[in-house]
Amino acid sequence: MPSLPFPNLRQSSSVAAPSRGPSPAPFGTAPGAPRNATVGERPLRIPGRAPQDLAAGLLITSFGLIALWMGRDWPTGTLAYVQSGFFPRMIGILMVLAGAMVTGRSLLNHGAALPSWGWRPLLGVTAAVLAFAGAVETLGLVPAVLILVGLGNLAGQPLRPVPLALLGGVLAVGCVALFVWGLGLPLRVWPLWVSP
Amino acid sequence: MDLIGNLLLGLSVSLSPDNLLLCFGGALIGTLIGVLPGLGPTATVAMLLPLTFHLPPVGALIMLAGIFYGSQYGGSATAILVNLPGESSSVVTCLDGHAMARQGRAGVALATAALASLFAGLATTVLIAVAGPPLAGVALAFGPAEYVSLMLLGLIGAVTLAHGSVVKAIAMILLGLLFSMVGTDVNSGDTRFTFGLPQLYDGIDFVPLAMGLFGLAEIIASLEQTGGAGRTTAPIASLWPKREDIRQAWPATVRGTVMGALLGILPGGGATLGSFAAYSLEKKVSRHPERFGQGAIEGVAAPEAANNAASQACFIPMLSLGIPPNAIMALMIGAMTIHGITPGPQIMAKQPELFWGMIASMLIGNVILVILNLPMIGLWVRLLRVPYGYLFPAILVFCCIGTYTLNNSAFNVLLMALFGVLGYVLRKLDCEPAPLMLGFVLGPLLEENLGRALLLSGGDPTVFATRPISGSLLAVAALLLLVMVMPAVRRRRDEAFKDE
Repeated sequence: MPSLPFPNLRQSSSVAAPSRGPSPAPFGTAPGAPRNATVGERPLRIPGRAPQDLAAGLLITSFGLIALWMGRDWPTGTLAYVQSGFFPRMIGILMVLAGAMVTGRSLLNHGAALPSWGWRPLLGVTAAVLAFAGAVETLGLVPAVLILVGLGNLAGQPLRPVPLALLGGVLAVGCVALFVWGLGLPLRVWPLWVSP
Repeated sequence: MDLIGNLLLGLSVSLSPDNLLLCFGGALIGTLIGVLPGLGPTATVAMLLPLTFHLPPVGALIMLAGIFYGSQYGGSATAILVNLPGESSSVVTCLDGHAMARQGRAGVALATAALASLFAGLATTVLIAVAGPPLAGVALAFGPAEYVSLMLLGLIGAVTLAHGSVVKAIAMILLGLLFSMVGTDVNSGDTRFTFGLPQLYDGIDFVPLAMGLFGLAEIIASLEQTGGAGRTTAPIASLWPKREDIRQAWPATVRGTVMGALLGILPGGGATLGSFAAYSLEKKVSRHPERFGQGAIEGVAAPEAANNAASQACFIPMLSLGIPPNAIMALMIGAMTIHGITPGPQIMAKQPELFWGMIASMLIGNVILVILNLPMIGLWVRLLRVPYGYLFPAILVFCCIGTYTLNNSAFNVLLMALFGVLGYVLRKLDCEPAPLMLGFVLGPLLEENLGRALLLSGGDPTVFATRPISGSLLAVAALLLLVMVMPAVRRRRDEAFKDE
């Protein structure tokens, strides 16, 4: 390992967190995604020296700043009679402080690099859930489940069409049986134009 | 009322056919989901919450408790069979459990885990029954200042005893507090952080938050690791431990139980710390420490006992003080709130059948779990081999419908998706979502009591330090933080949580 420009003052504690089991070859990593460096490889030197902590610190700080900005006009009251703006401002200030500490430490100490992102599962699952949210009231339960299964399927290693159709069918029927017939929940099963 | 009378009352509640069935069903479904790789107890409980919405409160809590220890046991099975811990608490079980499995003794390891958990579960349940009421009696004397200090102690304890960076964990608590403020302020009627969305006027619902942060984020992370393939599992030959095994395992089980129960009562202690501590203790007292990691049966029995004892001891502060010591207990409190129950010291006096019914159901649930698991282990193994590509769409469907039917609100499903993304990002940045959950649940309580304590003292912030109970709680919290900052302790803590 080439000598780094600064001495390693103290190892960041984040390195010690238990890894989530063996993770061979992360799946669905977008090829050529920027700043792709897994833990164990030589950590990236730019930006900062603990990119993972730097990103975390900036995220925390920005949450705090957003809270402070949104609550800028809210009444804080006095200590004897605190009003609705008091607690948000207190938490916002504390978050900015915590974020600054994490950011500052990331610039002083060496730490973990940014891990690679599983774009495919992230986007696939999120898109599937959002599509379900959009479809369940307009189209009904059965189409929503089918859309959810179809889109969700893209998040992992896609199934072949026949097993996929079977899985979707079984899940749709199972959901209607359990939630509509079994628990009697007031759910729309089919689109309006099929059964009003 | 005396202990026996209380337990009998509890047994009469939990042995009713309905509740017995719910306890059984909870343990079964909990194990079923908990066995799936990558889904720890927190995610499992979060996902299965909707199942309990339509039940009576006692039944719902009994079922949730069943789901909880079922998933914990399922996680151990996965750890032993495929060397994949579902949650950090079963990381140590992997070491010797999977080593045993590779030697063809997977069945023995699983039986040991089940029996050690059973012993720990029974012992700790009695402890809950003994320690709960006096603690609640103390808590009844608490004023708002004491509650604020107690919550601070709980939050700080959760941070210092968890693994990873302390500052990041504190930041996660703060983020949780921030999310808890969304909606209409109960005192003034002002709306906060609603972005002008009427759906947010009632605040963020607990279910989409928990399901997104734990459920969806876990699914995404598992998919990233496996891509949807099945797992190869170690074969199972004989199930029953030999006489020699039992002789080695039972002292370890007792030590693990004591260790786990002690650490579990501490705020933030919980299962992870218990299992790690029990494992290192076994390694210290053993005459052959070199056997550990090579399939030593004590290395399975002790952490499994500790893990179960600790996770059950967590119920003590939750039930008697209303303060959740970890994310799962926060989930339980959320579930109670959905059923209109305010957790806290008054439960025991006002709803004894709920409190004691739940405790007695833990006794029964632990027995059910062993009866259920030993014969059905072959089924769990087969489930592990089902490709994740078939399983996760089913889990997704369940999460979506569960969240939607909470209020028939598509907005909640949308929120869940957002929290799923947030949970995944936080995980990637090594920020744990568990403290966030704690902050979210404690937020309203903390704000209310903080305001009230200041109001009562006429705006004097020193009230928290000058009132004796409150002051000592704060002192303990400060001490904990101080100890954490000391470099020697830091290093040891980092070592304790390091993967082998």
